[in-house]
Amino acid sequence: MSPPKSPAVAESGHRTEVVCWRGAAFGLSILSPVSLAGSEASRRRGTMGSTTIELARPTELEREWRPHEATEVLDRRHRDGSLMLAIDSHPLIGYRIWAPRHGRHLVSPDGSRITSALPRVAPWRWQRLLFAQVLPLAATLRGVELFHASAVELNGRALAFFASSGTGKTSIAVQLVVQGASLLTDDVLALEPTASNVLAHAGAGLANVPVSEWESVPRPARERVGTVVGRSDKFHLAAKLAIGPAPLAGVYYLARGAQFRDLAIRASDPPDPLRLLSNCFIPYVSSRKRLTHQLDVCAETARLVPMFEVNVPATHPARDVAAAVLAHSETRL
Amino acid sequence: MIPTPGAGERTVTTVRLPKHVVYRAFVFETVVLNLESGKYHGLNPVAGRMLELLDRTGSFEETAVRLAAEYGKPKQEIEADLREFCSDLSKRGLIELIDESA
Repeated sequence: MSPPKSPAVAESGHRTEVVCWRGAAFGLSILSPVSLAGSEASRRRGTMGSTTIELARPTELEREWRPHEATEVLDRRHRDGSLMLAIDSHPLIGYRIWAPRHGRHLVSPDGSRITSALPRVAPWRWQRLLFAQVLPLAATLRGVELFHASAVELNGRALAFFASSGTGKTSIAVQLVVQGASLLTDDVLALEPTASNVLAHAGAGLANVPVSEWESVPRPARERVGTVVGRSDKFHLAAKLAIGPAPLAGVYYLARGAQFRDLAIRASDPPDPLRLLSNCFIPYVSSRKRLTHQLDVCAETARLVPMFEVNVPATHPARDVAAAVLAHSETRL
Repeated sequence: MIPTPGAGERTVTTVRLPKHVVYRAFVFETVVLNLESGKYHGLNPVAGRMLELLDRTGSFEETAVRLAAEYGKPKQEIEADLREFCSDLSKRGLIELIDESA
């Protein structure tokens, strides 16, 4: 992980925090008192707003929270019934996100401020929660529309991969990086329509790669993807992300299963708007403003970006799918 | 419900989209979003055009005239389809119909 850079001081009410890391993710500029993963992140600047992270003790954070006035948004449990992730909302304080051993956070109602109580664990562990839930929520509240997708940058253009969890979004993105692309985001994609195109912003500096996929990557090529900083059921990488943003040139919907005998890529005809809408991230933020903006972003994306179906036989390796997508993007986009 | 006019009768029906309803045209579909329920509704291109004209003109009758011209169909036929469409959208709370016939 890179050392602290450009120390500065940010005033925030009763707390004063030293800002030692400046970077970007999901289109947001991020000021943080602790370094975040992603070697290139500090070179990036967000264009869609900013958010500041400040640290607090868990007791301080809980003192600010008013549980009796809060509404449960999400309660995800492990198979044994123990808590995996809890998200609650309060109309004035914002959102509280808590995952045991991964930290707890308060996100202000407008997403401009995150107060974090970080556990004494390896940084990648608390950064998983920060990048998977906390920063995406802050970005959504700042008006950024996010999608459950991976993306790479290739020759100055972005290719995005939408699929249900476990289908191979990350694996295909990793294999495309091995074959010459740059990783733009692992799991959460920020899209920003402009007058003439849709910009895809770089995501989190932490990528979570299936063990078998990482082990299939030749060692010399691994440094193109990033550096392993931890391991659970996956390898966790400080990713070498593209600077971004890049114009989105194509959306690929991945479907994997035994019903497909051959690998096939065909245009989505007609493209189904509900597929885009159903892949929107942070669905529990459902203000009128957000829902309207979400519809706008999906409509513009469907209008401006070609979409394709990728049917993948069950046992087809991601490396071959990546090669087929690469060839397809070079000839059809 | 939009009344079917008898011989020689003329109806005037104003159509309004409630503030909690927004819609956007996608490539081959129009998506209508009810912001109160968070529910999405899909319309095919013809229905999407009907809604667009109803919203733009605010008038059932004028929409029927324009659609008849655009699709080269008899006005009565268009009116019947449009009446059914409006009735369906109204039941779902996606449009408001105001009968202003004298």
